[in-house]
Amino acid sequence: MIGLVYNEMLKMVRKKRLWVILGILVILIPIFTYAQAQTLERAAKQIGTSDWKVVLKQQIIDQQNRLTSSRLPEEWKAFIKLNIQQQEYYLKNNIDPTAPGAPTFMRKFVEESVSLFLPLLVVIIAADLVSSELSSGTIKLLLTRPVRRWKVLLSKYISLLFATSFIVLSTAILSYLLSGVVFGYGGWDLPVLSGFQEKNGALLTEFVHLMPQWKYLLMAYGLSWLACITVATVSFMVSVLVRSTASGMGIMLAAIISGNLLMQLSPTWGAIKYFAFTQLRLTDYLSGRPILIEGMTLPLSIGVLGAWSVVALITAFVSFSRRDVLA
Amino acid sequence: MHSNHRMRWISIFVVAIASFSILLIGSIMSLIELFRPQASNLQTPASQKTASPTSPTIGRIVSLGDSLTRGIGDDSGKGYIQLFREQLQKSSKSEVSLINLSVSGATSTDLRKQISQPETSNLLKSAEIIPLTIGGNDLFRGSGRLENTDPATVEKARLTYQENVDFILKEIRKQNSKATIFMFGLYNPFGDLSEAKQTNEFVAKWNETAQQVIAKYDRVVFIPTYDLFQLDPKRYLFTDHFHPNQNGYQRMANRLTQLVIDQEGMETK
Amino acid sequence: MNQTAPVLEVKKLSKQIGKRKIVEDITFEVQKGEIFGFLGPNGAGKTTTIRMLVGLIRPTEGMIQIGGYPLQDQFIEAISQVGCIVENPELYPYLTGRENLEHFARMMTGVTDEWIHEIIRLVELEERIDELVKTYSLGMRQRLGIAQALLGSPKILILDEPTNGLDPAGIRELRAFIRKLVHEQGISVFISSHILHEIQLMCDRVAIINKGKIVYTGPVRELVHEEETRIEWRLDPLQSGVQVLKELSFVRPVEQTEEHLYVYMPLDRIAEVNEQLTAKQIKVTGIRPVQATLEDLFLQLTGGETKS
Ligand SMILES: Nc1ncnc2c1ncn2[C@@H]1O[C@H](COP(=O)(O)OP(=O)(O)OP(=O)(O)O)[C@@H](O)[C@H]1O
Ligand SMILES: [Mg+2]
Repeated sequence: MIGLVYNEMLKMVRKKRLWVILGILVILIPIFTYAQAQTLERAAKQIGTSDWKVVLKQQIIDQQNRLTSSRLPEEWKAFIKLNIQQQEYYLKNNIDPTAPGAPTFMRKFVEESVSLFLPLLVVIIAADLVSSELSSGTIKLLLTRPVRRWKVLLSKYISLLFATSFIVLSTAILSYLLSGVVFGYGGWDLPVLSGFQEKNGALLTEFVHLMPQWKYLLMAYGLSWLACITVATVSFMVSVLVRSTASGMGIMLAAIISGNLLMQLSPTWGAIKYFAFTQLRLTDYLSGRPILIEGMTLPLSIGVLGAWSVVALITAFVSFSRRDVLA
Repeated sequence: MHSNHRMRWISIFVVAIASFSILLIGSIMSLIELFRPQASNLQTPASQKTASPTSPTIGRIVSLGDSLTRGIGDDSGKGYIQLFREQLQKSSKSEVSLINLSVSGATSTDLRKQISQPETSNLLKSAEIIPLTIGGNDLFRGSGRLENTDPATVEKARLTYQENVDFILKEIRKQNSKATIFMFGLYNPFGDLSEAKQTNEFVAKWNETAQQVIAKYDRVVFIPTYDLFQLDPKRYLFTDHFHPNQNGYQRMANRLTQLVIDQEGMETK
Repeated sequence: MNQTAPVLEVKKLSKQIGKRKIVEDITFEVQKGEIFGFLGPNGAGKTTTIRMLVGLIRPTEGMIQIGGYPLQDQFIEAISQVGCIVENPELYPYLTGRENLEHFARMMTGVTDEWIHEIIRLVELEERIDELVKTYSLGMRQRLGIAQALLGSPKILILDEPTNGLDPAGIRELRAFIRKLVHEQGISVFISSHILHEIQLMCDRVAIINKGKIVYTGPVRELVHEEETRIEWRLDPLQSGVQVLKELSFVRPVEQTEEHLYVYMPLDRIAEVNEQLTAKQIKVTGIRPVQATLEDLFLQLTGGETKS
């Protein structure tokens, strides 16, 4: 089995997809870093100080102003209100949620990229894992060996899990190394608040507590990894079912993007909760960022993601070991 | 060749398993954390020992009030306050900073509440110029009608307004004895309508009230706006017929800039 | 294990895809050390049969035994005896030849580095083996394909049209190579083709398949009468010429077009026939011995319509 997994990882490395992904990260992270630095600088310039308390206060006021707009939908208002409450809590407890530093950037980056950017990177690897063997015909050489089909598929899945882990960790490491050039490399021990809970539109601070940023980061990247694994697993199934890599990738992109869109456009439509790609923002539970969709809880999110993964895996394995290979 | 091969084998696996395990640990930790939340470990509030290090910028503006200070009605989104800051910046070598604490739709009662919050008072401490617009929402509803044409009710609102303005100014002074406060007066957005006579009367009465309160305090300047919009409201008001448009805000900003620059000039002499 | 048991045994094999029966009721055996030809025109069902033989698709009906193991029930044991190329030898273009071989070697047990080395030498790829496969020519890929098929020291090699795309020299080389394999390693070869000539040159026995059904199984030698050759006659006027030829007992006409007549006859009696024709005022404008085609064979076997 180790030999099989090694085979798959070797192919993945030699196919250069992983390097393409690293390349994307190396190009995009500096851009995001620059954008973030610009935003901070502009805010500081406009307010005339880089004192985070002033900035935070201004943000609260700005959001209060957005609240008075009558055109804003109710669910967005609830979202903003919770946000304000959280920021006031930070202010009251003298904790800067955006203290500059590469670790803070890492945190912001994973929170923003967990629902779209990271999944897209994962899809690049996952969507052609099986379909490329089908379309190139190499599947015929792979399946005429004295190895059971499910083992071949399992080795592919394990190597996909490794690759997904590698992508998530590379994102963390690269965003640290690259953004540190601008923001500095310190800030691992910075206290971060976590444990905000929401109940009936009010923010519960009963469980709010401080933790060092490194721990928070470990957990945030761990959660985004769970989300990415679900994406990887579903893409894996698509790659077994759809022979063409291009259509497989198209299907996955459409699914992920519509998940993101649905989350924004119709947060009141309860059924979308059961669509895996609206549930990717697991890090929100950690940061206490208010959840837009009604009735979404952590157990539900984990349950939906888990159920999708299991069903996808079963479908992939059943289809793969039964199917006639006509490629 | 052979050891090369083995090295590659080992390194690929080490990287893969290491990243897998690290993230697995992270996800397990977070699930434990989220499913069994710990009780709060905060001793609120962590006694503001470092009383917010205020950076030494000159010309610090902290503005208060309602939608006028927000700049509602200005297509460019600036409002008089940003126009003013830009003008001031031109004649000043150092950075002119602005913290805009105004809340759209605020009444004097809202502002009174806001001014009592510790965060607000902290910010006021370091201010040098405090522009302020308030009262429009007390007297007029946002919809553009008089809140209540019944003179008795308006009179009651005026008394509240008087009391609030007094409180607000007292509070600002308590935090900051040196800053100059510029309070804009009210104007009548309905000067060209049939009820103009009555509304004019109200606006005049309220402005008089404000001025009376202001007279009790040092370094508070009343800036009339009544005259700016009286003759040709259409030209200076936004399409909602209530907020100023860009031209209107420009006129307000001009007045404020003039006063500030004059005053600064006198001071430096 | 029984020494005389066939290496590959196929019984009543059928495959239906959708409503179409692509392969129907195929039965044959391949013995140890035998080169077995599988001959049929395009679309006859050769590749489909081979896919079933190597477990890529499931038969709708029938049984396959390889080295005594039933493929469906004991897949691992059965497939361990097989090395194959199905259609084109598609290898990973982004790996080197050696990496490809090592890749497949890791999927089986007991393949040593020495054996891989030996195989590379056998297919004469030593010089280019550490270059990426995408830089290989078709012939080199074909040889690498055979190399990967040999990795597991199979008892039977299943090759689907291995001469596809090779030039005459390449085909000759391949033929010699396969003969050598059978001779040195004692393995059996199952080889499909749509070219009769190729099968004639290479195989001991042949099964001929048309429209999914076996139409002939037997030694290649019996397939075409060796003492006869296919001769193309160009005659003027053609019809009278045909009459003359048909009257001769040793001439067997097989096909007639607007300009030619094809017959089977002994090569050494051409002069005799030519004389008779000239005597009857028929101009002979061309005489040419040609290779027998699969179509003639069908005509011979079925005595009826040929086109598939
Ligand atoms: N997936 C499929 N679905 C339906 N029909 C198929 C499928 N695959 C093959 N066929 C049909 O089955 C028949 C046999 O195909 P097969 O590939 O086995 O022929 P072949 O003998 O290998 O021909 P060739 O010499 O061209 O390689 C053809 O008529 C083909 O159209
Ligand atoms: Mg074929």
